[in-house]
Amino acid sequence: MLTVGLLVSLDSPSPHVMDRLKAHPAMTVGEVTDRWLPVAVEADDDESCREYHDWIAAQPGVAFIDVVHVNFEETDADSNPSISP
Amino acid sequence: MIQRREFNKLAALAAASAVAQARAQQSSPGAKLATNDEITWDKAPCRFCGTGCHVRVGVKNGRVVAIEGDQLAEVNKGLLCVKGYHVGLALYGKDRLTQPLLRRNGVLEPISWEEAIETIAQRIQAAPEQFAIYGSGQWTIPEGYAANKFIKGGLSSNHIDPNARICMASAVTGFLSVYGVDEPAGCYDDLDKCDVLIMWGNNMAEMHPVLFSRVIDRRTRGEKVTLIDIGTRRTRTTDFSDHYLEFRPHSDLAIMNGIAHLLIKQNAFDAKFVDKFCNFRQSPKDPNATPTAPLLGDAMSFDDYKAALEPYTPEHVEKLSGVTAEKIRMLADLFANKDLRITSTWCMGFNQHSRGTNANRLCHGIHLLSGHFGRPGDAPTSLTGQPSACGTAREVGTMCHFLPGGRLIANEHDRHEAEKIWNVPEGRISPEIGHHTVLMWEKFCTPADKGGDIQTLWVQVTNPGQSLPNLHKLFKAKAGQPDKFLIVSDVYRTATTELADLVLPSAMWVEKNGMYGNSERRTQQWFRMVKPPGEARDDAWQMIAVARRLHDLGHPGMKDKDGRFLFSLKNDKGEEVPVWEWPRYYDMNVDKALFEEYRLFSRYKHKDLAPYDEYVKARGLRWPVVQQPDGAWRETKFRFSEFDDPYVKKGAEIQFYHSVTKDDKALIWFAPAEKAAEEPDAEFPFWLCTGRVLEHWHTGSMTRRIPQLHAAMPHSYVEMHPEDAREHGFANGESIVVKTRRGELKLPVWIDGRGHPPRGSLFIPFFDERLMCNDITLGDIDPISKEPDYKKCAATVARATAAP
Repeated sequence: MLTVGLLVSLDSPSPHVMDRLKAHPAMTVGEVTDRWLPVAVEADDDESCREYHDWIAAQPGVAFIDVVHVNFEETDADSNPSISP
Repeated sequence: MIQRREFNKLAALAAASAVAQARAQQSSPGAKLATNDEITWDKAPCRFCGTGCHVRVGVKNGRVVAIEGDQLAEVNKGLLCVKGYHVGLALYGKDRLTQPLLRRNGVLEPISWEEAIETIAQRIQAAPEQFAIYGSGQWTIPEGYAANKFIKGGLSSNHIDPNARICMASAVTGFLSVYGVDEPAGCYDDLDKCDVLIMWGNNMAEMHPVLFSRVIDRRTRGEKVTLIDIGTRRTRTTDFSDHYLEFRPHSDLAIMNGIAHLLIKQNAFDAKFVDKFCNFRQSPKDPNATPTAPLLGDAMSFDDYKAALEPYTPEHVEKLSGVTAEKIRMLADLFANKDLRITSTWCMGFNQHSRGTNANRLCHGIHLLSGHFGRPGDAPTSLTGQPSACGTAREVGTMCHFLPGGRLIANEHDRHEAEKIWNVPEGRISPEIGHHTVLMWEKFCTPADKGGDIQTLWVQVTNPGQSLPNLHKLFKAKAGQPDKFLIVSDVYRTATTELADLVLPSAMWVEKNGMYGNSERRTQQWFRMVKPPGEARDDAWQMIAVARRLHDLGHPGMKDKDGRFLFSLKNDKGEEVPVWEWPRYYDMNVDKALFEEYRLFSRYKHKDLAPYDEYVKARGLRWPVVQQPDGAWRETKFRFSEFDDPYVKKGAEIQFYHSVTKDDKALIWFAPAEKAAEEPDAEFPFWLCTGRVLEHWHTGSMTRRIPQLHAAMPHSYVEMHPEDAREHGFANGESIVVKTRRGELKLPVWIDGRGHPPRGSLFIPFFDERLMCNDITLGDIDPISKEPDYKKCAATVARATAAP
């Protein structure tokens, strides 16, 4: 389980995009400040995390996404690959 | 579990909310830092690129479990890039090296640290002059300082060079020959103030994404900032830019000469600025007259300069570069407009260039000629790729011709000063410049009876087996030479350890204390937060332990003038601590002791550093850091400008106080556009460029072990224009062969991928150790900086006949 804090920059504060994000089961939306919207995303794995990120980026009115926090406490400690030649 | 998940979610949201509020108020955030009794948080600069973002590192049960952007950090204001927020996982690859390994009968076998240290000491003791150190811009400042003192002040040898030679040496020679002192005058604040940002061969969106985000954020606020991408292939940076100027590889010098030509032709240069603050220079007639001759150049008059630029009409430049005359005029018009503030950034595009010094000089030159210098937002600024290329390689002076604090090996006065600070006998430091990177590896890979005078080479914190150019010649030729001994200190097995005779497991990042220096002269500090795995130990300890063993073996260089060990270090109570014994290493803060000694070097070139404890309190400070009458330490954002730099004389406005010409003036250089060392021809019709990708950091030895990054970019590829692919009958993803005069490489082709090279051009990233593009790169070096060109050589392509 990955928990990620995102800062979504909006072209302008739009209730439509906020509603869409709020309706997404993996996302928790904070209070918009000016054009910046904080969002927490919970994802089962990295693939879903990327999908969510891409989904947000594709929403009309979203200008940019920055990641500001990642918690990988619940990721499998043995999941890091070994790539020794 | 539910409770913890809920908490983690709220912590993530709190962090994002704090940054949102800070952005809205344009202030430094920090009011709402997430707290958790179970997780201990501390600050550290990110382990990866040279931007110098600060992260908050969350530790629980002796393990790094969370990362967030440090909201108190001016550099990143709470943001991180994809690599940064996964940096904690770089510690936890399954195959961390945990014990010393010695190659016996071709196999690396575990040995004790005592045997490892003894083996190195005996090799050095037997032939100190045949020993060399290859270090890194990822060395912490104290690590680099220890290595530098050990070899230059102890072994009387200058055979030490960092991988920064292959990264930013051309920026160094550019700054030195223009201003007489290294490193940018401006800082990242310029990105917040500029009206125009010109990125010269600099894919900032992917290589320095947090800095790029800082600029894009201004647009989100409704500010107008014009982005100009001048490059040889379309990248993500291009997508955000207002203008994209695609130039023929190696013709960037022609573009800059074209701008200077128009500024003069149209009398649009800043005559007052030039008259007051600049002299003119060209390459010396005899570059070998003295070691510094290439940096000093020959004087030329303004009229000579004007005449030299005469051929560079917009139309001629269009022919040379492929950039239209109209676009050249557009650039010149921007520089002619003093109401605008223009910042130029560059990185490997200028630096890894066989005319890299000249490319750097010309960029500084158009800023000086047009007077776009010295005001916030008006700055020529180089960016670095490693976290301490500036702090350790350049400032500590771990290059073969430098001493700490900007001093030169070739300068007797500088050597004597270093000898005094190190308290070693006069004459201890050799006046002979050591081997630069390419020469060092050439000498190591050449048999002794054929002139290969380096027999033992110790690599720390870098992976030259993948990052050197022309690897067959400069690295792989070591194989089969039993008298050559390669020592590698690293955290994982790499392409370099493949040929190592002795492998030392190192502690990394927050497993040790550290200090870095980023691209904007910012010195940063962090403390050890977790223990390294197994028997992994600090790189600085390794160096000190070998020095101590040599001391015990009777090497005279390991003692100072008073007979004390070279690394005789005292704790805060003034008691000497035997830090060469690993169990005692953390009985004192070795970093603090080494740094306090090192900072004695920093005043000479006005690179003043504050006491160690000031950095503990700060998220980095930009030098010169000067103590104020009230005792506070003040950093400097804009060097050479009276309004901010305390070393500029009152009333001077601008003062280049380390001027090459000793008259407080900078130098505007002329340099001709020249052909590349190897250009496409009938046999090898493509340009081949190499570089980095967003997800991986350099050779990928850390990022490829992070599952999220590995999955996002699992392997290397070659980018190709769709029409070239169609002409050759290649399908997207098909495995093809890229061949140069050095060898060939089989890898998948990516058409219309992330980057878009023009017709006749290929791009391969260098992060993948299974598909090493440096097997086929040329690596022709800049004659002044000795930095190799990784961006240009001739190649051809063919369909792969066998399965990859």
